[in-house]
Amino acid sequence: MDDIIYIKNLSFDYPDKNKVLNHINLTIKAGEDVAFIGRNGAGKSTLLLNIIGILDGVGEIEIFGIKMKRGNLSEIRRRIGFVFQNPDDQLFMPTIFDDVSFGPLNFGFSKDEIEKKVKNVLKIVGLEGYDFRKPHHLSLGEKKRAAIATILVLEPEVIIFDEPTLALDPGGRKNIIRFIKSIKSTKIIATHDLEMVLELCNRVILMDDGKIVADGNTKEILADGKLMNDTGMDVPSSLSV
Amino acid sequence: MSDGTKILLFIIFVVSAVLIQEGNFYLYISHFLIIVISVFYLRMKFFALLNRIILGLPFILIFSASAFLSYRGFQENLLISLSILIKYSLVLLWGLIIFSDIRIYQGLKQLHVPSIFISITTLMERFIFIFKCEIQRIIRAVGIRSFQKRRFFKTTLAKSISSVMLIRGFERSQRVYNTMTVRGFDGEVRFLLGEKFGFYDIILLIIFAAVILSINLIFW
Repeated sequence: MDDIIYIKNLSFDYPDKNKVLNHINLTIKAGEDVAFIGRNGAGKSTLLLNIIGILDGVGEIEIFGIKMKRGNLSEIRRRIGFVFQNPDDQLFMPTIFDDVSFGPLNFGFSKDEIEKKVKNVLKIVGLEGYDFRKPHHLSLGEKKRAAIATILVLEPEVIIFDEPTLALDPGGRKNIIRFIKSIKSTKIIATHDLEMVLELCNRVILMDDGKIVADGNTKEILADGKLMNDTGMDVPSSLSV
Repeated sequence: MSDGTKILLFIIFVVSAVLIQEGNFYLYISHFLIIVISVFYLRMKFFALLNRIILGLPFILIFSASAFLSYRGFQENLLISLSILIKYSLVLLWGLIIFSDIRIYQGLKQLHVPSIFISITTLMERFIFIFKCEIQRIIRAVGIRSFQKRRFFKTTLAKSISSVMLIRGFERSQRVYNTMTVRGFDGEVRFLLGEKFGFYDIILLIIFAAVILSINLIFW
């Protein structure tokens, strides 16, 4: 399999906190579904924001063999989608249609292509007929699906999800998991929802204090009680029985 | 009809309605007739529209009542007050007709309104609701932890809420900007434009402007 994300010696500091990321080395291959887990402040989201080029750490990042630098960001962002934690941040246009078409318009898709893609992607996420609904009239579950649609429409090769099931009711959570599972692209998920990780990911990267402390098979890592406890996590209930 | 044309129709009507001399009831009636004809032509529910203008009526009543604060005499003040009320109703009714089926930002784009203005208004419209939610959340959080009702305390509270809102607003704008940049945002908010501004739009605008102008010339 090809390396799609290659990170070497990546470190990052926020002005008020030292070493949020501490010499991270990482490779992700095409087709892998990877989960980043770890306690709050472990550096998961910061690492993902570095991968998409929103934060600019010290070190080397290559995405699809393209070196991460200002001039290449557009190409990288065309190929990697990022679904943010709070859909209210991601849905900022007057209607769902405008929101979903925002990315394709910026990347220069044609009008016919956009109309077709938006209709298709809204159908896929179960929001058919929502084209001209206002985002603030939707439920949280619908907003999450609309936020995913804004990324899916670009047909990225990799999709990064930051806490996709956060604050959802059990039904909504199940729907989102089922939906993410159906997506063909490579998936990278930062989450505390370990049951979801078991269901969706074949590889887990456990982070603590800005470092990768474990990287490997999902079941093996999540079932390791000592490792999980030492890093402020818990073995998921389905594995601890 | 393109969205840009609808905005121009709105502007022509508003300018004409606002410039009507106080007490020129023929012009009021003729403008009202244009509204009635449009409502029937577009098969809209007239009473539903009237219901909607009633919502804003208390504010405009206060505004029109302010005409009585001047020393012009009762009759003249009454005339001014009435004219404010009628002009408000005309403009709002026309607005409700025109904006019932419009993609306003696409229209502004068609009229070549500067992109920065469209971007700001787009985001403002969206974030009014988010701002409202944030305020409600803070008030609730404060409410369950405070029982004092002294005015001084409330003023202090209002100050701290507004400063928290400012910081939250800044953080949120940063997050929204991030979500925009990952989708290729380069400083310009783009819209998929609907119908283009064409020959029929020009004809319609000319006819509408001619009708409005003729009415004004006849009844001025």
